[in-house]
Amino acid sequence: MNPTEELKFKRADGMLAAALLLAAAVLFTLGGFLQQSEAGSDKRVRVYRDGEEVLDAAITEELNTPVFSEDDGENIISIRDGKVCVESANCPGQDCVKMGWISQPGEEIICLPHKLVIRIEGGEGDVDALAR
Amino acid sequence: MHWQGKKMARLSLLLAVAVLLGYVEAVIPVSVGVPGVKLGLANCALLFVLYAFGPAEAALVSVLRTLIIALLFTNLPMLIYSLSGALMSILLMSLIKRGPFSIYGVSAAGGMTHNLTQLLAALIVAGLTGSTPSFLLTYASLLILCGMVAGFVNAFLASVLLQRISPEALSGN
Repeated sequence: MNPTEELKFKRADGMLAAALLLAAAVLFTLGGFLQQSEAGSDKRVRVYRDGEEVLDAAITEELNTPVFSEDDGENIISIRDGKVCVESANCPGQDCVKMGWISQPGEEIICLPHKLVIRIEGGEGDVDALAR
Repeated sequence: MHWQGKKMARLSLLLAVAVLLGYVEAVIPVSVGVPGVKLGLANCALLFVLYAFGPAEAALVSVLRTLIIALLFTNLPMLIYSLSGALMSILLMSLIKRGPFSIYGVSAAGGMTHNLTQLLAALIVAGLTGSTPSFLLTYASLLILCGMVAGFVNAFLASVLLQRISPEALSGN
């Protein structure tokens, strides 16, 4: 082969470059997905009654538990598939039930009549975690 | 590989250039924001040896360069990283050179291999405590990208040199 031929950019080089770019893109995307699941795994569901913590559970757990408050108040809290909601409650407005599922750090479900706050804490993007 | 005085002198000169290029880069670092990533200008000299002489000569210069750098500037753990990277890189470049690739493809593959081997060596030696799989994947993708770009730059520089300096005059025949 003519030695100078080896010094010119060829089609095979372009194909190699494309393959490397593709591999890098795939790894980068995979890394991004993994990071999301890693960040999600340390998210926690905390329930506060009148400002006092009454429940602390990982969002990855599967949980269905009642939280009682004064005057026979009862909210059934359900954690499933990395989300949390109030399944049912015996409060007058039912606002907490209507709020449905939450899954992002910082999101809250509030039941005013029972003085209940359900909040997702930790994980990436949480203001509290950033401030800490 | 038979040794003639001329050839030995020329390879020694190129070895000195390769060591110097690495030193220049250590003194004037050009950061691109990714930790541990540099242009690897010494590879330019190694490419020159690979194309003007051959794989065996290039491997010899590469290993000697790594040993000299380690003796002069760094320590044993660094030698493990750089030696593994240098060996794997020259091995893959020699193999790929037989294929349909020009100096650009060869150099890009070499740069990528050099980077990934060092990451692998770091994983084995240091365990990279605390790094999550997601970090490693993202870092590996950046290393592939940077290795390729640096490889192309070095290939361009080496190709200019190879065109200006006749390989026949240098190979000592």
